[in-house]
Amino acid sequence: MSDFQDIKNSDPQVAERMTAATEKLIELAKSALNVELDAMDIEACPEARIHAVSGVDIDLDRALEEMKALDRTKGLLAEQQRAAAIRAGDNDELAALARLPRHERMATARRLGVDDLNKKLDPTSVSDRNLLLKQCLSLSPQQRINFARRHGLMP
Amino acid sequence: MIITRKDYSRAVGVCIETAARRLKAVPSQCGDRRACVYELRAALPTLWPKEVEAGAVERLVAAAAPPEDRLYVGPDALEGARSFIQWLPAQEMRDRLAEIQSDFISGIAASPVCGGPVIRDLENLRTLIAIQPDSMKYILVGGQVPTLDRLAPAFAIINAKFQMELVA
Repeated sequence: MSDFQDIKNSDPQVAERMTAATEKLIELAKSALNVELDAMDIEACPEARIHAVSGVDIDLDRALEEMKALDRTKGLLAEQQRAAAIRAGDNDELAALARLPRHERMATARRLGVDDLNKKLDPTSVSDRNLLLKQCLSLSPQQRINFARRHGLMP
Repeated sequence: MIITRKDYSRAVGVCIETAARRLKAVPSQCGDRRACVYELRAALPTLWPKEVEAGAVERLVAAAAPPEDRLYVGPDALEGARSFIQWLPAQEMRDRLAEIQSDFISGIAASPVCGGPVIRDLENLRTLIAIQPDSMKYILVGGQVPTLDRLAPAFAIINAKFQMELVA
């Protein structure tokens, strides 16, 4: 347990100030940065801890900068940018997504909130194409051409 | 490519009895009301060298009819394709075969069917393309080169061998 945790557990006032600061800063992160942080993230910000321990007012600008510098915030902001690029049809981002195995691609797309990938993606992932080819070759020769056309293996 | 016994007799310049004797060992399909038909590729090795020199191959190709399905070569065609390739008696035919085979590989490579399951059967497919009607005609008599960029992927998809382990 960290020193701050010890102080917070032993002093109800510190705990109370920290709870209030956490709620305030989560709201701030949501409105200013459009990211969902949690109590653990807020606790990682020195400004929140100083406020909780000393009772001095929070410098919101400084707290915002600290929240921006968190790895989690950076990751969430980068994902937002990726999602926006994919929605805008950015070829590099789409190709990066297409290179993922199918299950990872779908999970990533869901996480990014992009739900109309089928319109944008070509079957360029090697593992994906091989899977389609395997399925295709398991059909009778007469059925194969239709399957291949339907799944973009043939014009 | 299929021919009748009569076609063979006319194209090669032999009587119908000689044609029948020569084609006796060649697999045939005989309908109730139709004349017996033979695979051209299987009938070609019955020719004498002097008949080949005299233009019998060109006349047989001109008389031959393409099969109903121009893509699917059937499940047991590989041996026949190998025999046909081995038979090719002229250097220019073998050169045209090499051209067709390299065009075929290029056509596959440039298409989305170029993946593991097709690649592992590529050697057989490269052999089978020799008996695809348009390719076979070109190999035997020359003329216009078939465009394989569209044909190759379709041919590969239809004729690639089904492998049980692929489904697992």
